[in-house]
Amino acid sequence: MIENWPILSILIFLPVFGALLILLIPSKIDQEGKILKNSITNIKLVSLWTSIMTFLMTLLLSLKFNYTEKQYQFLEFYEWVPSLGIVYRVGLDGLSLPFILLTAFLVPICILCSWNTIQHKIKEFMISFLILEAFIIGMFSALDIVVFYIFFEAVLIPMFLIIGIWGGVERIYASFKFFLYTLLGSVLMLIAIIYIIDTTGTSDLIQVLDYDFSKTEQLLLFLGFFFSFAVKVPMWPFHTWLPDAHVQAPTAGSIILAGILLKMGGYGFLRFSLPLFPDASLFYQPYIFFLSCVAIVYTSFVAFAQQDIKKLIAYSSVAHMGFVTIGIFCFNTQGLDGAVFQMVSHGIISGALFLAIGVIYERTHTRDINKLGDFATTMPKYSVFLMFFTLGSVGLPGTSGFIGEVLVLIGSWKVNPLVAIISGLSLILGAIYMLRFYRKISFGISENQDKYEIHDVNIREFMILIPLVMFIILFGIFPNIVLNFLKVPHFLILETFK
Amino acid sequence: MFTQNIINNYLQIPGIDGMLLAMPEIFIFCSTLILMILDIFFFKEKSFKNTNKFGIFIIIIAFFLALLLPSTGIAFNGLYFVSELSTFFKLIILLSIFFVFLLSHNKADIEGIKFSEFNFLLLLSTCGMLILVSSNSFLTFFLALELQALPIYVMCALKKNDIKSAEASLKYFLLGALSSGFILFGISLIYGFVGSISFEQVSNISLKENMGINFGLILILAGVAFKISSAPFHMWAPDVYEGTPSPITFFIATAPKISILGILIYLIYRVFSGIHDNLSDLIIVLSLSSMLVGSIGAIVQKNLKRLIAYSSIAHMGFILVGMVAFSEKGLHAIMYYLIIYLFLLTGVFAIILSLQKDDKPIELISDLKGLYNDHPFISICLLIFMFSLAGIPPLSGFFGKWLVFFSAIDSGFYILAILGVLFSVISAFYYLKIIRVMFFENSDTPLIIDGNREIRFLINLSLFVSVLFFALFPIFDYMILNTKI
Repeated sequence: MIENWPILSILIFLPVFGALLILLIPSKIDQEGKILKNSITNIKLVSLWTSIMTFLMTLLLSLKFNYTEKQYQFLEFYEWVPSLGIVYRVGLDGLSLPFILLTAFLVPICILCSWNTIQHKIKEFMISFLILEAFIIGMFSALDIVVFYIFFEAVLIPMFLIIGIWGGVERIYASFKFFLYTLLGSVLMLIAIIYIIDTTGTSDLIQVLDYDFSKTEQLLLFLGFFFSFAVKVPMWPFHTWLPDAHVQAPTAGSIILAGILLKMGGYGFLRFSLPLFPDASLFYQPYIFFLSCVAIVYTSFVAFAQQDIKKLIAYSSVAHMGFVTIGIFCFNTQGLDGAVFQMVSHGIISGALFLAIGVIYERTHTRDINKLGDFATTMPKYSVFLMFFTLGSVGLPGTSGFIGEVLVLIGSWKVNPLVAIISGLSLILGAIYMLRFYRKISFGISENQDKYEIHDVNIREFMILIPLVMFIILFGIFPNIVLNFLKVPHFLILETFK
Repeated sequence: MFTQNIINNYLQIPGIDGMLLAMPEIFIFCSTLILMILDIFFFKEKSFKNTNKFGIFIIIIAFFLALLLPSTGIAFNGLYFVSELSTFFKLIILLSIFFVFLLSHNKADIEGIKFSEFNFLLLLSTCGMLILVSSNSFLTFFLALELQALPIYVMCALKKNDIKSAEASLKYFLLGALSSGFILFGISLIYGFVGSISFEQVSNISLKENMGINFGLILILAGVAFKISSAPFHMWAPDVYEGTPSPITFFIATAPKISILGILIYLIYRVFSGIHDNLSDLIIVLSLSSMLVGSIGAIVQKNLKRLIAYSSIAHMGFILVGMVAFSEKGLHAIMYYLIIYLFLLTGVFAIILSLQKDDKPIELISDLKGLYNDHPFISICLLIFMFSLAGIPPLSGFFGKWLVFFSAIDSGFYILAILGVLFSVISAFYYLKIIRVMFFENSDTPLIIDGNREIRFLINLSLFVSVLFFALFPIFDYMILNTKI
């Protein structure tokens, strides 16, 4: 029976439904002008359960998913605007499912971690978060270029509000920079998309993939897509919005930003740039290698110099995403596998690191690395968690960070050994700044540690951190859980290059 | 591309039967005269309210007359012409006038325009607009243009004791009269070279090489650009928008521009289609400069209505992109854009009208400070309108922008499309600024909301259209695709 259901559309619109439910919860105000505790709890619980239900639905999808099928699965197709050739087509393949799982996994964690930290406008926060989730899932499952673009840009609205309303001191500057930067990147993609629809007569990705663009067209269209994805990834030198956005965003916003929004760029490269413009991808390969190597080396040094730990993790994200772009543009199985694996693992690890920073910030209200220290004695459990995350970020064998980096290095060695050497050596740089970060936080002596009343992680935080650690180790030992999804789509992508 | 001489495909309706084609205009004109007499003799105390109610009534009847009389043809010896496109524009104009009546219904008092003359002038101007989009000769064109413009000059000055209103009115009158002069001069040149003022005769003559006709056309284009506040003829717009009371600002920003765009489409696509190559460069200049002035100029504005003025200049630039495309796609894009833009502006003005600070209508952007804390629903509506005006999907404004640039790329104007989207990013900045003021900042003096039933209805309607446009798209698609010029 369930086979005939539009499962994917239900999945996309389930969070919207939850958001509408939250909208209906009355926020009664007591004499002091504060919203009653009851309704706040209701709001939080509804959003938590909606996101957990969404996660369970995605698990259902991945159980029903057929790994060997070459076609898109759970396809849904509705005519939308016939005169313009736009259809509502959604479907999944092995490339999009890991990202949807990651999204659905991280959103409940975000909601749980903002349980007590978001003090004002909690209703609006939860609504924007659920709508954000719906847009992201829609974007990962869209198989029509216009539908993809609509979801891709719509993500900006809730994210702008999340940074702007619940962010830190300089939130306005950060949210404007985030919005305008990303918008500027994606309008050029809009032009490229319009051109594709105009020449092929359809916006249905499956049909567009059969169309052969000429070399010149490919080179120009690739650039149109490139700018929007490069800003999202972010690649050096388009990364300057990221540190601001990360630092100013609330913890949940940082998690979703690092965990998922950055992956939209890499996903876009794999879904559109490579299959649609293979010649152009080959042509631009050296340039992208160059930008990625600069990103890895340069941002590692920048990360080393940071005082603000959130900024440190933000710059380390840019470096890690450099590996992703190298892997994508290797055009071999190891490279692609490594890139996607790195994206998934970075989604979990950087999300976990931002969460850990949020835990400290809640207690000490500072993110200055010099003012923090000695958490190994004051918060022993927390230090253990942080160690796992740090080592995962460094890429220690046994953690998920290792697999992605090693696969990318193998892939790039086959194409260009110099790139492999540069990026391989810079793994040391990553270890340097991350271990410095961990040493200072856990074992260093802070200047004014007595001022804070510090207690170790509570049960709620414990429950959030445990699954993250579990997945980091699980993926490190059994990488095939993720890689199995990727065999068929990567085979299909690589076929276009032969 | 279009074939020429389509005009001849329409039936010539001789004599008195042609009256049927002009039924909406005739009805509005006659009932306005009757309403004036009624007002003098019967509505003593409630003069404004009653005439306003009757006005709404008249507009609704005219709307259905225009919708249900399914006639196309040419009447009054070729002076007057009804096509599906002109009917479309009439419906949109009547819709926007309907919104103006609703907006002014309870707000005339606080805006200082509580005179029954407001309603008469509005109706007369409507009559002029409807004739304008149907005109089929330069004589009808010019007379209708003046009939729609003269009442507006008076309406701007209705708020007699306000110095800004007087300034706005005078500025609008002087510059409007100047632009009418340009148009008249252009018409006289064309008449001199063609020997006729009938659109049919003009379109039948090979115009390409004729310097005089080209020059005349440039003058007409300059005058028309004046009226639709397209840069570099935009100077009046910010001052007039700022000075006039809000319902009238809304009126100036929508109906006259829609009607003039309607006749401009007809002129460019039909009458002067033979020299479109010469024209398109001019329109590209108008379009690009409008986008530039609109998006850069609005950044520094502090007054809300001045900002809307600049934003409307930028939007006019986007609409003109559809005109440049000179294809069926471009035409449809303009039609979509006008519908979307009309609803968005309605929502924005309904919100501006419903808000008061210190018992005065709000003026500055900073007056919106902390709106979110006081009135969450209104501020979320305004947020959606702003994102929609900025063209962020999935809201309605995105689809307008998308269709316009689609038509440009379809006709091969790549550079124009790329510059257009880049300007749209710049203009996103000031829409975000309004959102910032509402959501991210707090204020001490609370905003008072004084929305009545009509205004709430308009806000909800605009919200519905701009949020659910993606669902309404197929319906609009069906309606607009079946419209022929």
